[in-house]
Amino acid sequence: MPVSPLRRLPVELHLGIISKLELWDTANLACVNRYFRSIIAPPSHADYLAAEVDVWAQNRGLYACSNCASFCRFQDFADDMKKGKHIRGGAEAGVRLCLRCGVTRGLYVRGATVVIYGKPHVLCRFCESFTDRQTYQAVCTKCCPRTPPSSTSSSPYMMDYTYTNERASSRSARVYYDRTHTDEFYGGWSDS
Amino acid sequence: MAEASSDKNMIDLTTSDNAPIKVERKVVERSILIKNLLEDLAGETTEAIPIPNVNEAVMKKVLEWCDHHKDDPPATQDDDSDSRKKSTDIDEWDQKFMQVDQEMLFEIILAANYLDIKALLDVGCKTVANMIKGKSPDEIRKTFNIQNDFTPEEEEQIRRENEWAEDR
Repeated sequence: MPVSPLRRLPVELHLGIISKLELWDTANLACVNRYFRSIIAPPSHADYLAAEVDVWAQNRGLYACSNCASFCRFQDFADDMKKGKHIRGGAEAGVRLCLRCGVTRGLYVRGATVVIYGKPHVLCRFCESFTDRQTYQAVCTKCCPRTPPSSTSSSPYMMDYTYTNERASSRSARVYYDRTHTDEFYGGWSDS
Repeated sequence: MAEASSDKNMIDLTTSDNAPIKVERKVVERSILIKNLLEDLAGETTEAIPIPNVNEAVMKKVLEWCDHHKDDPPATQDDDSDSRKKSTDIDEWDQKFMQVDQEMLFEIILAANYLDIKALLDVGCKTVANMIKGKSPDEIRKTFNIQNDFTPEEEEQIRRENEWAEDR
């Protein structure tokens, strides 16, 4: 097996090459083998914040989550985490949390209403999943009536963290940077 | 006198495979290593300068680059300011120059590093960076003939961590 000529370079030259790569290319290079994984430092939250304003991240609907310290996808965030001061590069983009981290970090408490895709959702007071079933008791269909959550049953009204039914449309995310987040997602706006 | 100085402006080099190369001083001074060496010798050199780390084929290629860039202004010191931009733009002549097989490309990079030719090293690194850009890990392995040495478990974990980087 011939040795890759790339491996003949000393580590400082590898690092010189890596310094010319963007975050996502560096991430792919780190997946190549153990050597590159060992010399590439994991990106910081600041790196993700700097990268999320790039067209590359916009085209993929990626936003930085401050708790994951990684990119999450458009559908992993509540609407207000993608607009106002929380837009890409916004004043408070640095404190943005995905839905999952919002729950674990206590931003979303049980029974709280969170708007996702323009639709109000409630964090189920029993199983801590978001449901669009609006009742004053804040219970998702799965946990109703007040039975402990069973891990196997599922209901068409259940909205989990992963929006499998809507995921397909994340491909259609477009870059309309100065418009609202829903425009970016649905790829349309009114001209009037 | 003009003839004497023009003669003085030619420098003799000997490559690692003992090939003699005659080159204009201005050209070879793109190499900071050789430039400093010539300054230290202060014109007293009559013998050929040995370049033990670079063979003839690579040295000729490097000198071709030096010749084309001999009138370039010296490297600016404040190149840190635009390093943030991670620009990998390469001018057209350099791009053509770098269209060589990988063996030669990495030899040029190593030679530029050894001879301390910053601009050429930079072009080399940018060329490699451009070969990595936009490729999946598997495509990078194929391009550079690199073995995947992760265990399936490690690979699964890495895949999960970098799920966002996958094109879909």
